[in-house]
Amino acid sequence: MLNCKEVVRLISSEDKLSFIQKTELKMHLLICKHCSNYNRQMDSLSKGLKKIFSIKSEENREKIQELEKVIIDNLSKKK
Amino acid sequence: MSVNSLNQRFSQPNFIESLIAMDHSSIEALVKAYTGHLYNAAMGMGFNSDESSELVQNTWETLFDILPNFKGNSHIRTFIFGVLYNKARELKRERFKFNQHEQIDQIMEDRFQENGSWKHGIIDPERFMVASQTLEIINDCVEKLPLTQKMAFSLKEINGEDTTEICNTLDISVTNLGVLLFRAKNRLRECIERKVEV
Repeated sequence: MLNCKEVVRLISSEDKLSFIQKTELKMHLLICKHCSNYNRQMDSLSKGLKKIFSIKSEENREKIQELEKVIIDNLSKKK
Repeated sequence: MSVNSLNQRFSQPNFIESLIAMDHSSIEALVKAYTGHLYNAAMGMGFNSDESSELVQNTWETLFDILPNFKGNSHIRTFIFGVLYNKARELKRERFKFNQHEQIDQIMEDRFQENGSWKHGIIDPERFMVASQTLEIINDCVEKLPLTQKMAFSLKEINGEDTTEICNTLDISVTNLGVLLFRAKNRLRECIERKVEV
């Protein structure tokens, strides 16, 4: 059985989990409140960041278009 | 054009040659495809909007200077983001990409008992969720991360990039990337949690 510390490693890990690891992880999250809270926090963290950054990039849309023009002009002069 | 067909077009050797020859329509296609991403990545690394504009302009300038050295081992996108990242590090004078030890490692150690169970509970995920969508809180917590962690984290979580490409961009091993992401996520989590508890 996995302990909480190992579960936290697996949740934040970038490694591809094996079938057994995935199953053990799911089982642990079902019975452990702390780890399931941690897991949900990590999930909201990544969603929250995506949301904030998509708002930011929407706000910057015009600025980026201007920037594209300037860059293309400058690079064309470089020839 | 879809992202996939763009990626395919940019991977073709004759496209790279046309860039080196400074073909206008190729330059335009590439600049239009990636300037927004570069700008957002710069903002994500904590630069303000003027600094980000300048950083992105410098990135493109340098890219076309060094493009003849591009060997095509990775996607041109990876190469471009690598230039941005190196420019950003120069600007911030950040020397190390990877530290063997960081405070967060110890903080995470201390969270657990000897048998690997949590010492204390964690705060309510609902309250945490609200905080993690609050602009000021996120800005403040992201700001505190080292540049390499910010870059790794935003490439992975916000742009959804492939692990291998991120390692190529940052020039680090897969193992080190794993450690960086673990630290970045847990530092953010700890930081947000502290702000909720106050």
